[in-house]
Amino acid sequence: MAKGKSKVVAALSLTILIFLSGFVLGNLSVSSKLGLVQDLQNEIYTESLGFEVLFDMVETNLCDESSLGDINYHLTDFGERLSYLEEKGDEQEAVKILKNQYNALEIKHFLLINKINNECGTKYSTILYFYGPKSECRTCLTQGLELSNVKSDNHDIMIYSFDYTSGFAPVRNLINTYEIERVPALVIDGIKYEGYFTESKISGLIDSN
Amino acid sequence: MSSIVFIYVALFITTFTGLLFLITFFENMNKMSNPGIRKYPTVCIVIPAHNEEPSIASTIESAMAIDYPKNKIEIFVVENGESKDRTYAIAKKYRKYGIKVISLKKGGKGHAMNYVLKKTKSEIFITMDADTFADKDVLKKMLGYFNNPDVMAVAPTMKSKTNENLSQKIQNIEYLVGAFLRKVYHFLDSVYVTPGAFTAYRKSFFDKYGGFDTKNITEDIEMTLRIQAKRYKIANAIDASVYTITPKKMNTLFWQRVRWYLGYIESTIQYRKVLFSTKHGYLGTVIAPTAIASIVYMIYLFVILVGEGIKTVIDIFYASISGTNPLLLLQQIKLTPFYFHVSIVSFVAVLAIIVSLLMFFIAKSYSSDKSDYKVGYLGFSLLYIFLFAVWWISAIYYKIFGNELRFGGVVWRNSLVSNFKLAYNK
Repeated sequence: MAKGKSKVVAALSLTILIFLSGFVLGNLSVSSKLGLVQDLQNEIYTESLGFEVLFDMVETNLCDESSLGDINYHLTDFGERLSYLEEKGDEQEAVKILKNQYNALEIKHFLLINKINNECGTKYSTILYFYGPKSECRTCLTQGLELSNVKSDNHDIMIYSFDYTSGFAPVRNLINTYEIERVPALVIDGIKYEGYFTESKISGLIDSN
Repeated sequence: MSSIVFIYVALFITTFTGLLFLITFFENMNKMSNPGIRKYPTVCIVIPAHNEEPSIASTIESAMAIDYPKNKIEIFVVENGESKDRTYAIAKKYRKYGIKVISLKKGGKGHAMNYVLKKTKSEIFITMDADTFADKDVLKKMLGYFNNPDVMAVAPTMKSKTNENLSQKIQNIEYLVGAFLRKVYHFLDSVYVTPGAFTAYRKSFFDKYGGFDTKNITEDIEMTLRIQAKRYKIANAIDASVYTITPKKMNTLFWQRVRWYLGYIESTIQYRKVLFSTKHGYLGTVIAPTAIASIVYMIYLFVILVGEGIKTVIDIFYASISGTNPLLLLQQIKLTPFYFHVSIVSFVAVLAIIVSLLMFFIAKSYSSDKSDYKVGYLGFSLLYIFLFAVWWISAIYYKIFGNELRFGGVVWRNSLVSNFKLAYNK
């Protein structure tokens, strides 16, 4: 029986050891993820400063597009990482702050592109995409993916995503300006389209504009 | 209890039992082979048969071919329940080889076996299903365990006779994992299930405690628990192989499992004092409680997985009606390090997969199994949880609300609702 008990004790000890290792690994993963949230926040902050500099450059050399490509890439990457963090549901408060910062960055970029289009004669198309939470908008998930495909086919199209339920003042301002009433909704080069649009339809609308 | 606490508890229990089984196995690795027969006991093999025309001849021939002193073995075939096919006619042809062929009007395996129990004077009583086939050396490998006077039953390793389709391939893996578990239970004196298709019993146990319970739809489970209740031992001969024709159709498999699990439920209720008592060692304190816990959390996991599945189907549906390609949803899957998430759940889940693979390969090695396992293992890993949960949910449903069910020649009407109605009408 003593032998039997030692077997149970050994199994129990090993189980506890495995669980502790699991907790440690899990926590390490969470902390590294928190680190990533922090990194992302720092990156966005730095990029914001970059945008400020860009705006300053508008006065001197607005039509030099060389720095735009890099910022566009980072903006898309932030967006994807943010949606992942949003979906995971961890650290909601930190993510919410990040999201507002990201939205501010998007709007700045949108205004900058408009200015470049006006002053340099370029024709960058812009799409403002308004989405809602999954419970209210079942098609928003795939609408976002359709837009990603549009973007990957044509890098000169600028896409900016905004949560329709966001309380962030600049976003609410955009929603009011374009009179968005239901999601998914797109504003393609200043014209509002509500409902679901496939990749080919969106490309068609861009061309018609 | 919140779902995360539930998952942690379930994972803890699974890990603990898995490790206990592996430790037990490694501790007893040098005791895996059979002890060998000291003195050949007299043996009676009984083959109950009801509508078994396709397999009865091969089963009888398989029993006749078993390597055992001819003067110490007798074989009975008991056709019962008025089979509608040629079972009896085929079996009768073997009378010239000394096989005792009997026909009983009353249906039921239990009745057939009890009939022979009264006739035979053999020391060992073996039940063999009419769609079962044994290796020639099966008795030489099994009966040595009866050298220990406390052993009242010995179970072999059951294998699937054919592995033609996915259903049979999955069952083959299930049987092999079962073979490992039964050997570990043997070392822990906790065997609580013996295969009804082929098990050897010490006849004196029946003389003392009566024959099979004819009211129980799984009389083999009842007998196993009865032996445990009387504090005797049940052994397992992992190297003795017996093959059964496993159901090819999912529908047939479903009804087989509903019958088995209804039998488990009823026998568990009947022997609850054995199954949850510290007096019964590992069986009462670890094996039975964790077996029940595993059923509960497998059903829980099933409900969660089905819920997620329904959500995905809804997403695909909405994607389709929006005029988009549902394959777009696959774009969500990201594989860069940023998206990789380690949690204790995934950590223990990976461990569980490793442990189950280990159990499977140990069983495969010790039972000298040569069957191809890749497709079966994949099917087992992906589908078994769904099958297991559906069988259990159905069995629980029938136990509570079911009306009348027919299994072979036996009628079952023992649901809680029908019993309540019966009592109320009286």
